[in-house]
Amino acid sequence: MSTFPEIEQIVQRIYEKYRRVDDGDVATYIPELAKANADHFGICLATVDGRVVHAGDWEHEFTIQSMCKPFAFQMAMEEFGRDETLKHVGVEPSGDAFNSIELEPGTMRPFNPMINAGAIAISSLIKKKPVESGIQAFVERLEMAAGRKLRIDEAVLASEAATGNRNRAIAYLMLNFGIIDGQVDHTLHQYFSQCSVLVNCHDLAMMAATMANMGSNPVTGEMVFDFRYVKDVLTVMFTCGLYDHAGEWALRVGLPAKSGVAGGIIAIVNRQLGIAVYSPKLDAKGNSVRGILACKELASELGLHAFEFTNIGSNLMQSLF
Amino acid sequence: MAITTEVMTGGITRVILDGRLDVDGAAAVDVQMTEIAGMHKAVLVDLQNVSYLGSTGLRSLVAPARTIKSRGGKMVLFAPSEMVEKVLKVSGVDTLIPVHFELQGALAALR
Repeated sequence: MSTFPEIEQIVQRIYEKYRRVDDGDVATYIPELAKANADHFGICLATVDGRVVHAGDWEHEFTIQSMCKPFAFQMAMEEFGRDETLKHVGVEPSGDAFNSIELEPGTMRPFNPMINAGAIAISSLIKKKPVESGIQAFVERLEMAAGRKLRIDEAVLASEAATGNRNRAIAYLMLNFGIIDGQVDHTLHQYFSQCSVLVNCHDLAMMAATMANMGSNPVTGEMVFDFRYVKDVLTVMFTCGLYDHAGEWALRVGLPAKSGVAGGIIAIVNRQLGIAVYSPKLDAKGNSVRGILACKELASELGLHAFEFTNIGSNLMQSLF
Repeated sequence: MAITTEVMTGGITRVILDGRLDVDGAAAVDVQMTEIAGMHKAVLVDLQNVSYLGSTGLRSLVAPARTIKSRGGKMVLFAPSEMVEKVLKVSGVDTLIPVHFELQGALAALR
């Protein structure tokens, strides 16, 4: 593609433009996350034909945190099907914060799988016996998508477990309403472990590109995710991926995405591109400040918004005209 | 990104853009492009010296073209580089705003 040097130049320019933005604060509610270097800023783009562009601290590892949620949701849909999975979690944006303790009136399901409550319900579904095998199955799937071996940050995991009382309360509330089973400690260990997987921007961009590429890793060609559920996952990411910032994000960026409290954001351009950005300083809603700025500008520059006037709807329709 | 204008014979305004029409370039020319679209009815946008055209830059071209059209006028694009022409084609903007490579043809289209 003759325009690829252009993309390298654009990514580098955006990195330089926002690297000195100093707004926001590093997350402290998981004590181990407070140790992050606030200056770090990395960007990586991976295309569905396997090309990669990166800038800044793209090799620096951090924990995946809530960016594990779409992948866990995908795995639950594959294992249990859409109907059964949606008995345990809804698909409505809650407009609430990531750690909302509210459940959907009537069904008592968590509102969606992108907030903690919904992700814990999903972890309850995909956990396995013995305890470590469910975690291993999850990590292995992320490894297939990233294209390399990954590991869990044991210090962050211990920190999450030691301070996760709000998540524990959410889990017990869901147990009360029959949304999850009684193995609450097992479920929470699965959930905290999922959040503690160490990744860098390259890994995340490849994982996002794998979703973009109908579930196949663009480099290895391995089929990692069942493409029949990718659309469902991207939809929920679009409407719920940035918590109570999701509407603003849809307006400004217009891509399915997920943020994590360690400072990562992934975004997906269907059938084209995976984007990953990392910078640990967060805004009041728990999203990376530089990450949001970089994604906004990438979307503007490259015309990525789903409803950009240059993006034509259905290719199938074209054949019927 | 620089923008200059020239008055040509027949009441045609030539707008010469120079540089990268990216997010920052678009921000640098948008106000003037809007003014031009509100004042003139025959506008030739000279793209010879535009080395890059991004999505925001496309908006900076389509918006004045639509304004001029709504005022009963016409805007054409002139002499895009290979890269810029490719963006105009792939985005379908070449079907919204006529693209010319010969100056005489461009001027004739505006008369």
